[in-house]
Order: sequence, then C-alpha cells, then structure tokens
Amino acid sequence: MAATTEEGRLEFKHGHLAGQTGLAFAIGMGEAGEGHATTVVHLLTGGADCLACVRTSESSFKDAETEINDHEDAITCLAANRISVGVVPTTTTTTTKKNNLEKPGEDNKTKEDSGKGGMTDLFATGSEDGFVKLYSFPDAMFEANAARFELPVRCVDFAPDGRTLAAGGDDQGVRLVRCAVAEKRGGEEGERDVSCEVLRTLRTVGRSTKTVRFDPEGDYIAAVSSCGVLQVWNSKTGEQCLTKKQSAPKFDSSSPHCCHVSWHPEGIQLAVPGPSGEVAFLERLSWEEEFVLPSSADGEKEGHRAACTCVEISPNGLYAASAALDRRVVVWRLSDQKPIASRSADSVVCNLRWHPTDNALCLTDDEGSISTWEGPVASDMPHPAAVAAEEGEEEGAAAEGGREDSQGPSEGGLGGGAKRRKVSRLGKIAESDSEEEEGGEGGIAGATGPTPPAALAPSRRAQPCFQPGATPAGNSTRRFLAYNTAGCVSTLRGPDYNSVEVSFHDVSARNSRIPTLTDYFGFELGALGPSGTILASRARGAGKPSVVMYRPFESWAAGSEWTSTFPEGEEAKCVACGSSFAACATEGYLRVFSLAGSPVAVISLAGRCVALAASGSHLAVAYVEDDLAGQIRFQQYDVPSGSLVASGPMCLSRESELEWLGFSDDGVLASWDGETLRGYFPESFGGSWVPLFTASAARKAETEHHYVIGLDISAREVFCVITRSKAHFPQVYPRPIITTLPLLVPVVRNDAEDDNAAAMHQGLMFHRLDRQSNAVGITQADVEMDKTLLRLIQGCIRGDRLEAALSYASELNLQRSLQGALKLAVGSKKRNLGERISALLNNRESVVQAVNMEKENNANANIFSRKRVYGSTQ
Amino acid sequence: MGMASCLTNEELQFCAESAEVTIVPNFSTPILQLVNGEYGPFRAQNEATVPFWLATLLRKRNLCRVKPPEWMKSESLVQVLAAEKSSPNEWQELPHHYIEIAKLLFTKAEEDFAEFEMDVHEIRRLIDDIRLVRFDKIEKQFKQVTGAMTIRLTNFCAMELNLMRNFLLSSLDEYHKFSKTAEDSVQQRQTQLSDDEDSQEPQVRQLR
Repeated sequence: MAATTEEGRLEFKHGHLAGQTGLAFAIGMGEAGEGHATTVVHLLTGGADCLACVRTSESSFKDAETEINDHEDAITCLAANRISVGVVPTTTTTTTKKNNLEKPGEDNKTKEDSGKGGMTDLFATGSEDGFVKLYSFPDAMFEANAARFELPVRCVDFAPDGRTLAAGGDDQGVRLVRCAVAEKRGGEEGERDVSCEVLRTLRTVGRSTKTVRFDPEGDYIAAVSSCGVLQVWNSKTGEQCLTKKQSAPKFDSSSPHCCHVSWHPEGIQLAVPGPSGEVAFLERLSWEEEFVLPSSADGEKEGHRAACTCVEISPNGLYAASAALDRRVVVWRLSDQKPIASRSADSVVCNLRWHPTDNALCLTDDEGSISTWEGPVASDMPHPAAVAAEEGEEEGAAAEGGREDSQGPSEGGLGGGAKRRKVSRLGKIAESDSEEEEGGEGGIAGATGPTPPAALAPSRRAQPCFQPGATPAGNSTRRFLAYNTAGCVSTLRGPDYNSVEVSFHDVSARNSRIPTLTDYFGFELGALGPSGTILASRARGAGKPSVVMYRPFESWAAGSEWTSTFPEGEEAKCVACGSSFAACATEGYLRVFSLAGSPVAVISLAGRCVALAASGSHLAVAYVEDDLAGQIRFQQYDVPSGSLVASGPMCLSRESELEWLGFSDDGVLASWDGETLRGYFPESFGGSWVPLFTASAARKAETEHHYVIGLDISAREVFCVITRSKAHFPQVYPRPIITTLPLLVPVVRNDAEDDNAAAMHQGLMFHRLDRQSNAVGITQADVEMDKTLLRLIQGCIRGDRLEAALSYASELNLQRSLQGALKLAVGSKKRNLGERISALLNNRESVVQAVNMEKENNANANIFSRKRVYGSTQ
Repeated sequence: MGMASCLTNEELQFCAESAEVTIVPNFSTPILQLVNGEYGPFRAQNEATVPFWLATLLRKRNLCRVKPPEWMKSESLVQVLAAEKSSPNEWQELPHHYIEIAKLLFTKAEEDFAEFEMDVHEIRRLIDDIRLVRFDKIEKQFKQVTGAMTIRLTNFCAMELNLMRNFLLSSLDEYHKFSKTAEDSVQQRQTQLSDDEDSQEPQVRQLR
C-alpha cells in the first residue's frame, strides 16, 4: 500500500480552549445565483471557552463568522441536523454548486450532496452547564432549550429526520427529545416556534455517556460510556439491542477524549474505536464483528499504537479516518482494511469529521485547536464524498462500499426492497473478504495458514526497537515506562505535562517515597536501575530534540539529577540503567554515561539497536545487523572494566519477536519471545542459549499470555504477569499481580523412568549449568546434586538398569557420595555394578593423590580436581 | 437450650476470621512462624493465601491488598440471587461464613474491590439481597410448620444457623416436653389404675 513512510504533520490553529470540543458540518443556503439555490458548507465548533462558532469555508474554517456565547460552561458537543429539502419552506430547487474548496476535475464524481438529504436548519449545543440549546441555522439565533440535565452534557446527535435529538452526559440515561417546529403566527416569515419534549430516556450502564450517534436510517442509537461499554438501542421502541463491555477505550467522563463511534452512511456497519488502537466494524442487526482495522499490536505497521479516540466513515462509506492517543490520524480504505494515509500531530486528535462534499477532514485536538487536512485520499483513488454512480462499473472493484444508486436510502423511508438489497450487499462484502484471505496476505494469513516451508532462519520482518518492560498506552492515559521485579516507572499523560511516578513493589524496602516528576519533555522511555531511573524523550519536531534524564532515588548531594540533550537528528531509542552506569541507544550509537552524568563510552553499534538491558555491572544490547535478514545478535559488556563478556546470535522461536530482554537476579542474560524463555550461559558448550521456560507448558488457558518481568535461576523461578485480554500487556491500574512460576527445562525423560525421575532430571540440568558457571570450590549445590544423583542411582538399581546407574555414579561430585553409591550397589547385591563403582572410586582417589602431590609441588591445581580434594578429605 | 448455643455476631465474625483469603502484599518476607502455624513466604505483588485475621492486620497497616474471593464476583452473585429467588425450598451453596466475610471485606478492605475491577456497591447490594432472600425463605419455611414434617436444612451458613438455632432447639425441646408429658400422663394413668387397686383399702380406711 502506498502508505507514506515519512509521516506528515497536522498544523493546528487555535480554535477554543483546551478541553472537549464539539464539531459538526452544517449545509446552508448560499447566495442564490442564476435562479438556483446553492449550498455552502459551514463548520460549527464549540469548546471549553463556552463559545460556539460558525465558520465559513472562505477562510478554510479558520475564522469564526458568528460566535454564540450563551452557555455558562464549556461546550462539549455540537450537532447539526440535515433536513430533507422539501421541509425547508424557502427552498425551491437543490442543485449543487461546487464548493470553492473543491478541486477541478472531480466534477463528474461529486454528485449532489443528497447524501444526508440536504439543508441544516437547526443545530444543537451541549454544555457542561447541563443545557442542550437549539439554534437556528444559518442565522444562529437561539430557539429553545432542548433538554436540561443535572450534570454536564457530553454528547448530542440529531436523528436523520432532523427533528429528533439524542443527548447524553454524566446523568444516567440518554434522552431522546422531539423538537416540534411550527411557523410562528403573526411573526415574520421564517420565524418559528420550537417546542421540545422528551420522548424517552434510554437506560445506560456506566457513569457517563461519552458519545451518542443515530444510525443514518434512524432505527438505532449507539452510545459509548466512559467505562468503555458500547450500547445500541432501537430508537422506536427503546429496546436495548446490544450491550458490549470493554469494546471501547475507557476515558474519564471529564476527559476531552471521547471514543466517537461512526455509522456507515447506509447504516450497515457501526465502527467502534477499540482500546488498543484497533477499530471494530460491527454488522447491523447481528452486531457481530465483521472486520477490524488492525492496530500496530496486530502487526499493521501503520496502525495505531494506543487507544483510539474517534473514527469516522467517509460520506460514501469507502474510507474511514481514525485518531488515537498515539497522536496520529490514519485514513483507511475499508475494502481491504489498509491504511492509505496518515498524519501525526503534537496533540491527541479527539474529534474529526469528513467534509460532506470535499476530499477533506476537519479535526480538533484536546487543546481545542482546529485543523483541516485537505486531500487525505490520494487523487487517483475514488473521492471520499463521491457516490459511485454505476453499479455495474464498480462491481468487484475497490469501490465496493459505494452507493448502488444515487438516491439510495437517503429518502429516509425504507421499503422492503432496500432491506433486501442490503442483505445481498453484506453477502458480497463477506465474499470479497474471504477472497482476499485466500489471495494471500503474507502477514496475516501466515499466522493461521499452513506454515511456510522449513527454513533455518525464516526471513522475518526486522523487529523495531523496543524498551523491555514498557507497555503501550492502551486505553488509558497511564502506561508503564518500565516494569521489573523491583518496581515500576509509570507515566500519566496530562494535557500540559506528564507525571512520571516511580514505585517499588516492596514498599518497605525504601523508607521514603520517590517524589513524582512533572515531565515537560514527554518522556517515552524509561528504565529502573538499582539506584535511580533513566528517562528519555523522543524528538518532537523542530526545537524539541531528544533528551535523556537520570534521577537518582536519593543522593547525599543536592542536584544530582542530570539531563543530556542529543543533537538534532539523533533520537533515543532505548535506555537501560545498571548499578554504576546508565546507557542509551540511539540510531547509530550506544552511549554509556556514569551515574553522575559524565559520558563514559560511545560505541558505534554494528547495526540497529533492538533492545537494551542492564544489571549490576553488565550491559547487554540486542541489535539487527541486516534489516533484510532480520537476525538479531547480542553483545554483553562489563561496563566498569570495559570488556566484552559474550556475544552471539539471539535465539527466537519461529514467527515470534523478542518481547523481553533482561538479566536474571543472579546475572544471567535471558530473552523471552512470548513462547520460550532462554538463558545465555557463556560457559556451557562454549556459550549457548538454554530454554528455561515454555509458555505452552505453563499456559492454563489458550488466552493466557505470560508477560515476563524477571527470573531467578538459582531459585528456579520466573516472574511474570499473566494477562488474559487481547492486549498482551499489564495495565497500570488495576496494579498487575506478579505470578511466580517454576523454570522448567523441556527435558524428555527416559521411558523407563517415572515422573519423579523427570523432576530430578530438571534439577540436574540446573545443577550442571550452575557448576559450569561458577566452578569455584565446593558448594551446597554440589551436595544437592549428589543427593539427586544418589536417588536416581537407587531408582536405577531397583529397576535393574545398571548401565544408567553407573553413568549417574560417574557424575557424582563428592568422594563420599561415590562411597555411598558403592554401598547401595553392594547392599542390593549388584556385584558387577559394585566392582565398576569401586574402580571409579579408586581411579578418582589416584587422581586426587596425584593432584595432591602436584598441589604440593605447585599450588596451581585446577578447579575441577580441587573439588575432589575437598571431597576426599571428608 | 441456654446461652452456649447462641453466639453473638462478634463471636461469629471471630470464627469467620480463620477462613482463608488471597492477598497481594506489598512487602517481602520469608516464612512467618506463628504460634498456630506458618504463613508465607510473602513476595511483593505476588499472591499469597492467609487467614482473614492476618489479612485484616496487614491491611490495617497498608501492607497488602485483599483480593475478594471468586464467589464475590458480581456475575456469580447475580446467578446465586436468581437461583435463590426461583427455588423456595433450596438454598444455594455459599461459604459457611459468607455474611461475616462480606462484612469484613466491606469494612476493612473496601477500596481493594476497585483494584480488582469489582464494583463494591453492586456487590454489597447483591449480598444484602441474597441475605434477605435467604432469611425470608427460612422464615416462610418455619411458618409452614404445623405438624410433623421435614424441612431440608442444607447449605445454611453460620449466621442463618445462629438465627434459628435457639428457636429450633427450644421448639424441639417444647415438642419433647409435650411428648414427654403425653407419655407421662399415659403412664400416670396406668400407675394410677394399679395404684387405685392397691389404694382402695387405705382409702376406705381413711374414709373411715
């Protein structure tokens, strides 16, 4: 897909104060010319400055033509009706004049904006003062109070009949209000009496209704509450058709972010922004998920990386625009669910609307500013507002969603024929979907379809850089910058600044709380070290370069925290913090700082950094040399001595990416790819990755996902957070619970042995690894290992498997244990075995004697034999 | 009959405190060796199972979060409530000390419900409803008692048993007394009859 790699930025212009904004397009009468009435598109906005503005297209919606200052509190929402032309008394004909924004050459495509049936004669504003006020359009005169709530109003929408209004807010229930418009008697022409009555109140769950939308046919009303519950009612009966929890992100009731849903212009689908950046399309009537616009977590590179705030389907149903907390806006083509354009912004876009006739999007952000994105759809693709004229021509083409005939359901009255047509359309869409899946979309189909032919190094797309222990923002404004076995660093996104908080799991470990950091840099990376945290921000446009900051938990000297600003063009990608150093990887460099802030080392990486990890004096970096091959390699350094400890390729399970890189509590480098936890043992077989834990063996349910945060090899435990939701990340709130699971090397036992023996083999594996890595003196581990071996020998003798018994005996560490094994053999009258063990014993003793003599001669006895010496003297 | 058979609510709560509950401590210690057993080891942010009395002690010092037990999930409570309402002669299986446990959690660890994504108000309402429905059912059952009949007394919890214990025991005692007096009167009559025969003479004598 022709998605741009270098993302454009949206330029915002001040519109209102920071807060929730209302946004609506109104279609009014233009100056009559050549005997035809013309339409002019106005943009209506309302915001936290209590003003509602009517903006004209002449100034590209930047300047307010009319300002209304009626509300006593911030305006949160705004809606304009469209009323079919015949009702508006002054209209005679409706021929479209091309809007002056419109580009030439698209004339034949842009039909009359019969789309939603014509003109706006009323618009409504909802405010935190609890009023929903009605104004006439285009003269913006106050008409009536449509409803009065006790608590702030958060959302308002007009039904397609233009006379019914739905409003909701922090009060319980969504109210349907009927607005009766009558000509005022004795008044001037055009003066009207508007009276409003509440038709019914729809019962809502959750504290506050954040958004409400009428289906384009007026049959259904969709609403999303602040706790992420999607509800759909039948507007005629008030019957509830759907209540779906956790379908939408949770936003605080007073938050400017709203989670706006959108109906397909024909009402066949309802688009709902999802908590982790995906957008679900629910089919009308069945309310089943029909398809999903993938988030970046689903493997779509251009998808959203955080909770979606709004989605809007284009006037002809071919495209959808979505915005999310990751400060990006993406335009999707719905026929194949691919992104076709995206823009990033400095703030979160929280409301957007397609221009009713033009190829343009109007957006407002949480700062109350307004922007217009002109031409979100490339000119070689069908126009977003143009209705596909000929059914035959468009058959099977990308423009599937186009309207079959130009009158379409805009007439409002739905005959049986229209319904039938819809069913066939749904069938067709389903067909085209299945075709696409068969057609082979490598990325998605590969996961479920037959596995590709075996290859030793499957060519996977090179992994982007990630921060181990960090979580994406998901559906909340909080996220973890770092989460490990000691504690966590979390950030709370605010409108002006973020708050970075450090907390430890064990509150008794530290006697003072670490003060919350007010973060004006917008830190996105963080690592928790033993004595402080390192934080880093990404470059945010011109004049806001990437910054790295280190904050010690406590210090004897004041002002021990420091910041370093990277030069323009260099951006922090990953950070790590050890006991005596802090490290930050950028595009080309690995920068190591002392904890006091002085640069200790700058290393050019042999490739692109994927992840960093640090523990004690060790620093590990994972990198990709060649993006095409995608093979991840690692290097492990000892920072104080400036030496390389180990290096080599990383091991990853098939079809998986590195999810976590870190050190065990006893200093062993470990990697986790969502399926297998591996530890790197430099002494074992010349440096090898040993599988220590597999998720498939530990999983209790299919949906469980282990989010590894650390491990302890000597205690044989892995610490992880088990998540069951689709997002494989722990949430900041409620606080995650750590689960401790045993490390299990996938040992295959001898068929003659029982389960008990298998457990002993587990232990032996760890004992061997332990002996290989610290072969100094005799340890408790050696004694433990011998105990296990003796138990195995006993089992073998009982099972009459003498060969196995002898092989275990040869592995015994202590002389005394060997004597014990001999006793076992003799005691059970296995003479052959006894002879062989005693031979083994004699052999050892002679070695020990030789070593003893050697030791007397020179004190350079090697480690291995020294152990035996110790054993023999007991 | 007598005071020993009736426990006060405080005493019942004390009994309930030996039930086990899952907590999430925010401190780490090795195994705690106490007089009545060993608890732990505790690991910060890891789940651990301890008796209620220890949980409340730790909670009071802000050293842990108490995880509400599984049966307290509002979905299962809704089910229990529906089942209680639909069957007038049966009682659903609930923990023996469910009222006391709920009371303990609501007073000592109210804030922890939100931490585990549970709505404390809803749960409080549901448990109260369940309690009332069950008490009401018990009352109705006993009102039906007019003569000899059987009532199923399964799945009662401590507090409900406590409520009816006195009544049941005393009423059974009454029955016993009645049956005894009935027997006695029969016996008396018999002995009187035999006595009458014996005592005819003396009576005559007395009469004389």
